[in-house]
Amino acid sequence: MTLAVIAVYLGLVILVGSLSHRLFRGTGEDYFVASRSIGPFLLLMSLFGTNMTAFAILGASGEAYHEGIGVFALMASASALVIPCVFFFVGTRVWALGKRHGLLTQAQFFRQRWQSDGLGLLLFVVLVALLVPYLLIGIMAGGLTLQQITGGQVPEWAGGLLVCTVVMTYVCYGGLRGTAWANAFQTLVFTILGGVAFYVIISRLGGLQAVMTALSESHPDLLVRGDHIKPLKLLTYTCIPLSVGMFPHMFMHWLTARSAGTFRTPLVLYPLCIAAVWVPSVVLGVAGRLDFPALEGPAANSILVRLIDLHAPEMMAGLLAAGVFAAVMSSLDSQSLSVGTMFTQDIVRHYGFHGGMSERRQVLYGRLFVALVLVVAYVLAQVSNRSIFQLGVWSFTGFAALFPVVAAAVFWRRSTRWGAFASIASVVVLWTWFFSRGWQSPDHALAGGVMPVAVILAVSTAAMILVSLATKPPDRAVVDRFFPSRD
Amino acid sequence: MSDDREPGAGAAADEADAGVPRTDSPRTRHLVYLLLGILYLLHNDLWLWNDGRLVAGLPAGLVYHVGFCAAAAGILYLLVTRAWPAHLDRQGEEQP
Repeated sequence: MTLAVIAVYLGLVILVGSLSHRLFRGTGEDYFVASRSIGPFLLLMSLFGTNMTAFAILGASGEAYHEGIGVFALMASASALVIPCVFFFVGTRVWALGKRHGLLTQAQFFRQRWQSDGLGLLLFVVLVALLVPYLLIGIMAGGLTLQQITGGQVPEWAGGLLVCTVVMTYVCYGGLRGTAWANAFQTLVFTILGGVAFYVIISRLGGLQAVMTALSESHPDLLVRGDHIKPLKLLTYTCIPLSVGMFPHMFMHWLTARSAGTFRTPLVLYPLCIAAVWVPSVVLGVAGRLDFPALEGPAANSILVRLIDLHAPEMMAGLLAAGVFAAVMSSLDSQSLSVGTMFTQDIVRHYGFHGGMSERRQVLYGRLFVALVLVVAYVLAQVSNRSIFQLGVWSFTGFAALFPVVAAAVFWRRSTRWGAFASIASVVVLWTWFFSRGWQSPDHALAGGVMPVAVILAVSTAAMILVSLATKPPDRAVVDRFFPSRD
Repeated sequence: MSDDREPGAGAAADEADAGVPRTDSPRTRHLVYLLLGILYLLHNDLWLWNDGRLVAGLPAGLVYHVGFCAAAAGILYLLVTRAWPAHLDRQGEEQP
């Protein structure tokens, strides 16, 4: 039964993703950014679905199991404010510049903005390196979930392979439009199924009031933040969501909007979507203590699977797996397409064809690179150590610390390529230093609860400002192209 | 999926969808930015740190942050209706 539900779900995803092919116009711009024609509903679903990984469903409940309800404030409500603000202040401006200059990737944008080939290449390398662990985590989460839900009937390698094959099918075939359609479908699926799982399990446990009353007697520390989360950690964790400003897949989705006004509805609804997905995850994670009081470390990440298995097996187990797959694939598709786009545009087209690549060839290379990225990611996911799950927050830390680069590009006329180089270099050095010292620490925090991202972000901001001011101002004609008159 | 239209064709529709007059006066804009800043500070609810009361069946600290999400949606609505960068659509359409 469980496997039948999953098979039907995956079939539906391929169908939805492939249906979009009817609108395909055969051009590179259509394949990579859907001819900049996406409306508010699809944009909201794409932005939200891409950002909500398996972590929001499994990781959040596992974290809440250990740390309590404070996880919602730490990881969800801060994002509910910071992410839409990044969309408003940066995303809309990137959209306008992208449309004006026909941009498809971040490297193209920064290369033209600061007239530096080297800067584009450096960013390409840094962005891909930070994105790879993020890709692997999704594939591993898909494999592990299927293995757990089927009680080991389906091995982990087969689950990961299934996820990669389905994503490869609709991304290669449908490009960005197929990805956006599949994302919309999958985002609805995991949001609704999260609510259904919450209702079923909490009902079986006697209702919300009974669950919370029992928890206030057995684990009162989980209903407050207390010593679990330090105030400075809560404050500095708000830097993490700035990562959306530099995610290649977010940049790609911004460019797909059909107008700047398209951002309005997604901006307003984003915080409500976050609450709708995270409240059930966090409450179920805490409630899991009642049935499974002694899970250690990463074992708590399976708390949702265990609860489903105990209270609603078979059909619900299949639906939960579908929900997790939805969260995994709605991120993996956009990430693999963005890396495929970067290889096609920033390496092959830029260095091999000097802009003269035909539309048909661009689409062909795009498809080849998406397939290649997924094959490589799948192989790496099979040979990597499981502790790579801890890389998630480090990947976010790196992207967030690069935020001053995009902020300066769209807001600061006086910023220079050397300021951008210095900012990126400071991130590479400090990120490597913090990572080598503390990547196995489950807390990730420094003294007093300060997150490393706050330190790296402060230094990269200072590097951008000081080095820009110390170097020759950029050519005014170039700057005017990126800061057109408002009249 | 019906909102996948011709490029450029929907800009006017998106403008009309908003249905609320925009005010581009710097004072209004700065006021909305100030509200955003205040909301950001209110995220640090130190006064509820150790408050284990149940409100509407949920811990007070969780209810507060769900309310924070709703407040964020409200202020973001003000942001897109009262402080919208209206020049961006025109800039996007222009050739450099």
